[in-house]
Amino acid sequence: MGDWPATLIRPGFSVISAAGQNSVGPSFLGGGIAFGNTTATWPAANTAFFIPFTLEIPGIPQLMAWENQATVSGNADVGIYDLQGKRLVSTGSKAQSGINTLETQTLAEITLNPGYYFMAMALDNLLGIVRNAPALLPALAVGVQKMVSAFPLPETATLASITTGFVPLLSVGFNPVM
Amino acid sequence: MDFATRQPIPPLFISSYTIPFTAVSDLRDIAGPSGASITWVEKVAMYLPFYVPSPYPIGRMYWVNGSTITSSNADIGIYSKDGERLASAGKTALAGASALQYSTPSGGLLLSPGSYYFGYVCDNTTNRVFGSTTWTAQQLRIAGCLQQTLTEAKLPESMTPVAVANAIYPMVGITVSTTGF
Repeated sequence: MGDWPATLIRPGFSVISAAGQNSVGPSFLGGGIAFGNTTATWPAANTAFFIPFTLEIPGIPQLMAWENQATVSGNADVGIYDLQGKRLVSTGSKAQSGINTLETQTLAEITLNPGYYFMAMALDNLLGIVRNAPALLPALAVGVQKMVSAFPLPETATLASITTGFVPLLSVGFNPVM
Repeated sequence: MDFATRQPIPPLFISSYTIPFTAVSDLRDIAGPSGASITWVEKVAMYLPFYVPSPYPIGRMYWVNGSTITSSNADIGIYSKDGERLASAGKTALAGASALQYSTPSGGLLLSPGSYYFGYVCDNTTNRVFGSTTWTAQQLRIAGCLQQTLTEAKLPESMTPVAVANAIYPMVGITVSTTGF
């Protein structure tokens, strides 16, 4: 008989968000930290942030999304990495556009097996604002990483501990529409 | 019939604040915490309940230091629900202010699904630990936390816990990762 999955902790998903149970959300929530309507600008131009998430069943990510706030500027690049820092897929540089709205970008087709990954985002300027969580040590405590001079997202990331309390609210969508 | 099963992927990190696995699942409904460098009570060990719903291979244990680390030692450990120590770092000098400090369990440790305790102790006070003082001692007791006063920053083989009297909650945790971060 085939490989029957045991009961999953979080069965079924169409979106894995940084705020959700497959990523850092449960630890931030427990620490009293919310992805609120913050007006913090991207903390450092060309710096990428890497947020770990867990995939419990195979999936084909279709989109990545983030929530723009009151100011958009320049370009963003979003993608997915493995835990060793190898880029699996990314959108390349795309204009940040649409204030106070969810911006989505389509990913090239790739199949992810169950396991651990990073969702990653970089912005090439200091003016654009995205919804984020102002968490430094709580973010470090659950594996959020960064890389400077990472725009566009590199093929191989040199991951380092974050030094600023800023975790963008990124999402990976597994449906063609989010 | 014996169907092969595939275990769920365990969370990459479980910190003492991760919902739903920890005491904070209850505590946050009482009061939302704020994390900061807090004043510890020297040589007091706090035991914080947590559970894992599926087998959890611990790559490393960790704690989060506060903004001051001079002349200080700490110990981190995992205890069974019956209070027996399963792994610990031993008395360790604090290294790295406002940063995670890791310890690898000797010989590895695979937690079976069930309930456990984080154990943490520090032998100094002001700003030595990153955590919360949001909840009262009574609230920590309701959430299942315990404490024990030790003679040094070294966790015992078996807990001899008493009711929580010190309202201090550290940020500690486990991760399946063995390197990085």
